[in-house]
Amino acid sequence: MAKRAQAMATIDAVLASQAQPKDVTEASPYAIENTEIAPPLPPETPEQKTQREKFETDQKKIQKAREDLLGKEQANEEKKRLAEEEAKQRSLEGIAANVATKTGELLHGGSTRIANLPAPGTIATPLILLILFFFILIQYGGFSRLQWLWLVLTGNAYVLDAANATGNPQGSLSNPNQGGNNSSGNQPIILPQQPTLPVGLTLAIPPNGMSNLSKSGTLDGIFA
Amino acid sequence: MSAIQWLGAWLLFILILVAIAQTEVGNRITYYLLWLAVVFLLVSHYQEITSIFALGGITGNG
Repeated sequence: MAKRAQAMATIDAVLASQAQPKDVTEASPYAIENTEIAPPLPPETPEQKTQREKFETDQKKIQKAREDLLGKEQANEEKKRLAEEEAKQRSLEGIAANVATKTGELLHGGSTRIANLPAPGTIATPLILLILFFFILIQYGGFSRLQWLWLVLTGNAYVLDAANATGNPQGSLSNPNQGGNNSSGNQPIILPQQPTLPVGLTLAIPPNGMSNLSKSGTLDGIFA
Repeated sequence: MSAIQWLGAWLLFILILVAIAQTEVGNRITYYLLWLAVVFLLVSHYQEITSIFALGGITGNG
């Protein structure tokens, strides 16, 4: 028990000695020699004040002079640059570059103007009208394609086989009810074996002439 | 052979027009060209048009 107490006292003493900060006034590289606050400066005398003000104005003048000089230099540089650019533009390279630039602006402007043109509806509108008028207006064999379609649907015309056609390789008209010039009678529609272009308005002349054809839209009067 | 040439020429023309119409400028150009074609068709076949509206232009069966 006494040994234990003695040991504890020793330990306490060692810890106590370690916890104490070292005196900063001791000689060490980190020691601050003078820990006192610097004393306040004495008040400025009038001469010192005038000297300070003079110093400040001189500094301002110097700064202004520097800025002026710099500005002049920059202005001179700008002038030189502009002169060089003008000379360059007058040269061939400049002219070519100008032409290219203007052409690009013109084309781009032109294409922009064309692209901005109004287009009510779509492309399909005039296309459909074209197809419609193609069927209604353009005639082949004396009738428009729409009329031919109507004649076929009403049974007043059909396309004959090229072998049975009478002198008309593009097909001929015939009335299936009366037989007409077709010896085969009511034959199903046979497409011509050698389709040709609708070059001319060829038509099988009916025996009674074309006048009967012009009277009615059907062919009833042809083979009457 | 001439029919094939005719058909081929038309198909080529249509393909070119379709290709042109894919761009903005080409779209406008194609649009107005088609309308121009409609106008030309109407003007060139004015007789058929007027005959349709004229009396007796439309005839019935018999």
